Amino acid sequence: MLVISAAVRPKQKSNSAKIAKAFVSGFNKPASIMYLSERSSWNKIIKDYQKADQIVFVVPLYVESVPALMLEFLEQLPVHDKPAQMAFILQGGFPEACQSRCTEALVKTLPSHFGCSYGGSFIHGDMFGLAFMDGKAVQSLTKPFFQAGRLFARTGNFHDPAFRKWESPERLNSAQILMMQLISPIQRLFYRILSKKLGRTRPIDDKPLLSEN
Amino acid sequence: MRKLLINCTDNTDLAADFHTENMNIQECVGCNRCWLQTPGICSIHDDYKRILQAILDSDEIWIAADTAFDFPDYKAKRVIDRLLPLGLMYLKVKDGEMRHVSRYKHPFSLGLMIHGKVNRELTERWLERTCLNFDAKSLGIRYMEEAGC
Repeated sequence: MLVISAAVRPKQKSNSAKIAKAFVSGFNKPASIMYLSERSSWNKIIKDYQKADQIVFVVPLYVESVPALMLEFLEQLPVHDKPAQMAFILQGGFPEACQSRCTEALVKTLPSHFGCSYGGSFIHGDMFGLAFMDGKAVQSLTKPFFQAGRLFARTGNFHDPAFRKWESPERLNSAQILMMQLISPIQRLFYRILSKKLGRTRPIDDKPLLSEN
Repeated sequence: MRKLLINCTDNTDLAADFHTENMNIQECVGCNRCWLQTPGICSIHDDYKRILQAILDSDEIWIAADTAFDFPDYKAKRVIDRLLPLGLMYLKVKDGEMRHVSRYKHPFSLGLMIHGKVNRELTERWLERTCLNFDAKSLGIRYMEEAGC
């Protein structure tokens, strides 16, 4: 199995890289992880893709779809030499699975362009915080991907309904929406504190391009 | 009505405000700096800043896109991925879904001019959802061939 992280961030800072690692760890069979952010390795990725019969892309949500980088890579990817399967792990910062349905609709269509079958998608959001975590916190937040890897080792695809219990809820329920609205001021304060810690020097809601008019 | 046409296609004959083929536009690296560290300013200092400024100065924006996999290709997607500084880190609930709050109170419309062939339903759905993220209105897609471009 070849797992391809489609993140643009360098792997040291990439949530998709952490998720790929957790998935492979749960899979617990021979598998390699490669990173599209390392453009110099694209030829090697293409060679390894031809040797693999299972290809799993870990895809971060970029404006309702896959990142431009992944589309660029796919334009260079040849049709697979032998029967193979492409499956997709879709992850993002929003908590609901519905945020990734449009991405899912696109990735479903991709395998046929490469002579591959579609091995389904596994959708899990709420990953924004992963970027700021390490150690056990990463292990805890990526547990659904570890579990998905373990199950994938048995099923060989994401079509099995058993995967759904590890996915994010489709939508927030009314109680969760109310909670989100109630904690919104606290959340905004948290972002202001976080951004200050990261070295922000201007207001977080600044409008710098407007002032240039 | 201020119109803006960003040409991301190889068709250099199309009269456009920007032709990205001749510009240095890199891809969004998802660093979140435009949300958290340098609010509203992308950490990538390339020609995209001119496009973002022009978007803020326009009401109707069209992106001309080549296609791959029956979808707008990576060059057009790259231009859309870089819209992120238009949003804030702050979240809100809109129509029952989480959304980022817009940085600028600048209502605009966004459409795609397609150079090639796309899965119309999927591409229009994607454009609609993309617009939701920026409080924008979708103008849908137009095939350049049909429009005589």
